[in-house]
Amino acid sequence: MGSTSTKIKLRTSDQKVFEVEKAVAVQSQTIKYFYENGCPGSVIHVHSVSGDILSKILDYCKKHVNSAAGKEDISPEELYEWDTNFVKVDQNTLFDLILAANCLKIESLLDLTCQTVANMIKGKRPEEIRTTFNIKNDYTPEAEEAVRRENKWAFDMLGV
Amino acid sequence: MADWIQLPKELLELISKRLGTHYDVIRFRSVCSTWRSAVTAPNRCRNRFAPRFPLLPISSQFSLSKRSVFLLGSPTTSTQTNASSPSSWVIKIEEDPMNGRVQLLNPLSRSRFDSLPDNFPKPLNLLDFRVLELGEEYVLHYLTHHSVGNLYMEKVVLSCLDDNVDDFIILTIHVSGKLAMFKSSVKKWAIIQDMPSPFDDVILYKGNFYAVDNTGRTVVVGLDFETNLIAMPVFGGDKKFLVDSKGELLLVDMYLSIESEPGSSSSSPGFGFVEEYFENLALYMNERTVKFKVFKLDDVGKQWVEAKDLDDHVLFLGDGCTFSASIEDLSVCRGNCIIYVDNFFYSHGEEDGASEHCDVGVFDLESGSIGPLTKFPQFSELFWPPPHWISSTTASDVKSDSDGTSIDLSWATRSPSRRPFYYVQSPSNPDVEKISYGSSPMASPTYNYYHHYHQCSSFNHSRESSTSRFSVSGNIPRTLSGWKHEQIGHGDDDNDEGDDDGRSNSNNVRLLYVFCLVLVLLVVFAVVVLIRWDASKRYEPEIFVKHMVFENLYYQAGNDESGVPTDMLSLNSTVTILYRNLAASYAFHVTSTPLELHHFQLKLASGKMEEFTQPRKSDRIVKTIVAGHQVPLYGGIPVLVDTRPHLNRISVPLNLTFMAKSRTYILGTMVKTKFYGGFICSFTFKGNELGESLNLTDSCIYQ
Repeated sequence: MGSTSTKIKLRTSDQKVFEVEKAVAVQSQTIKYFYENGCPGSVIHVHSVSGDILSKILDYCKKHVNSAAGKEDISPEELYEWDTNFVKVDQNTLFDLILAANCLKIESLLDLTCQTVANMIKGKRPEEIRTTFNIKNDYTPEAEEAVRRENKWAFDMLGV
Repeated sequence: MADWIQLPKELLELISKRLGTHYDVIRFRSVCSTWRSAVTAPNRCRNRFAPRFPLLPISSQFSLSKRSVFLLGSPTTSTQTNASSPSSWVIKIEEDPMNGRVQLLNPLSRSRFDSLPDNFPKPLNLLDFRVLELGEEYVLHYLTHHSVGNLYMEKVVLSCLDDNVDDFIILTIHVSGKLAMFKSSVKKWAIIQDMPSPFDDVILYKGNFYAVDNTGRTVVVGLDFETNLIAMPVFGGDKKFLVDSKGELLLVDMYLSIESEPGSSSSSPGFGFVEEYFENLALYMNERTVKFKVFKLDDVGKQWVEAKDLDDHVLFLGDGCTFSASIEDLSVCRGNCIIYVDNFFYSHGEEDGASEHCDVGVFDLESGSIGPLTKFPQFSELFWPPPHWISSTTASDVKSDSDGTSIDLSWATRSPSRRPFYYVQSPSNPDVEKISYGSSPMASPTYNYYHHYHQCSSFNHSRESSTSRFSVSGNIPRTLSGWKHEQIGHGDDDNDEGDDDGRSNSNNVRLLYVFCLVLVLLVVFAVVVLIRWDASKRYEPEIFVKHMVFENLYYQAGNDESGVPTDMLSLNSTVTILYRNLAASYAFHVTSTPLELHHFQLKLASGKMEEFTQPRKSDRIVKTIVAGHQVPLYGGIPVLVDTRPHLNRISVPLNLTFMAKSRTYILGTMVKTKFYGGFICSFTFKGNELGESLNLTDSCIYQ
């Protein structure tokens, strides 16, 4: 087949064009679908992803494809380490990465980024979560009461 | 700026699924209405059970409840926190699914905290704290008690299939030491026969059941009752624990040694007679934890490899569950420690904490030092008392709380017996100050109060000081002596203030005389009574276990009450006891706990001794029938399994235990004297001695 040498052209939302090895590009189920169902050789438009984000994502795919194919000698621990560093980015980038991973349907990257966000939330108080993610508390008093009810322990103690 | 509210619903769901614990999901839903609507309320099986769950009868004898261990974190960051108050609190709670009420339990044992400090907020608003779920445990409750005792009393682990509350599997350790599995689909217990040596611990790790036996041999238990070896034995310690620490399976090996330590209850000579039967036994077999070893699993080599440190984690070995936490989460400065429960001797099954003897200890893996929790303040503060911020945050918050039931600040007036001594300190009276400060070297008086409270009711509450029973003041709660000092100090204070008033008149003087007279009379009377009582203590009755005859012994196959096939034993025997009352002037009324015949921990037979009254200076021979009818053994006496056709060749070590209570009344019922005698008779029964009289005179230990 010689599929490794086949290149796929991708155009991002800010009109940057990337030429990517097929094996790397088809990590994205979306690109794979367009590649298999579109005209050969045509440029695939990735409307919702910017050039910066796409280049990061392609880095990620390359790393994972290479390690899976054995081209790069990297242990699972090292890959895990690499992933951990990969998502050490500012919130905006992380947000864009999640959206892009979702839109391009890259399962493992979506996992990784969602887990990163989950870890930022774990154990925190809702107020802290709001601060972290710059979210406003928009509950109506009734909804707030329901939230309160969910979040309380009514202690039942023998005679004090 | 990223607008996280705009995250598509499916992504919010993905994130919420990765939060792990159901409390995190609840809090995730509490952030804003968009997030709330995007994520459904956490499913039932992994968290609080549907109302019917605990009522679900498991073979009609058990019900199951879930308890969760949480780490509550101070709302303020550690730099803002008051240095005197710890910023983390480890608790265990059980939620009653019927009414949503929450019980607070000792995180390491199965005992309940009887009471909370009065200013403790109920309800507790979780939105104010960081909440980390550290672990969970399940408890089987026995709906009916029957003669054989509890078959399943060890740690219980539960796995939900497909997150469906109706479809679950329970694994626990049966009284025989074998693994027992219950499938909700079959509604029946099954005993897993694989057992080179009795099992010590079970855990649910990464969705699979793991079990470790006495030797450290570890298996994965499949749902088809198959066991697959994953690690070879590690010989050494006495009890093995499995712990899931940051996603890694660890084996902890506990080393015990027997020490003859003078018991605390026998240290005061005047009142040195032993009150509790099980304290008695605990004194007799005083096992102490001396050290621990920790192992990591080598998957490939199928062996446990000793680990020298815990990566700044702290392991908690509780009765019902094990868990681990990082030092950052705990906000302590020193990790690599193991916090464990040192109640190697079982309390007598009662649920409420009052009867349970439970010591918590700490082992430092780096230095190898071991000691009681109180010697490690950074850890003891994690448990009890509740940290200040628990009540203070809610106190500021309570104004906005519409139901208004959150807090009760009137703790000083509500329960006079616990009134804090410090609040009436009179600055004009130097004596009072001396008393107060002298007995409370700590900076914060409130804290001091909590501290004592912690010692008496959370962890050390079994050893009620015998002196408190004879103290004059009736309303002193069962506490340690430090608290009593303070009470007395407080009383003095009141008197002094009365004198300061200086409004005494003749009426008062007369009253005072009468009062003094009554007091003197009372004292004289008390002295007489005490002398009489002391005299009566001298004539302790003598009890001898003379001999025992086994009339018959049958061994057969059958099913236990939960339908598990097993071998069974029936036996009839008679125990002869000689009772001798040496007292010259009074009779004893004698009662006894049932005489129980054990093979190690397995109860084979029991019998109730007749009550009788023994006249002064006389003897009596008491015969008691000790019998057991179709007692399930679960292979617990291997020698019987081996020699089934030749019962006359067996040789079984047995223990006969009971406690006799002799009671007498002197001066009407004014003076009551009791003597307790606990007996443990260890002997070996040989099959060919059936019908013969076994002499037990020399094989009994009298306590």
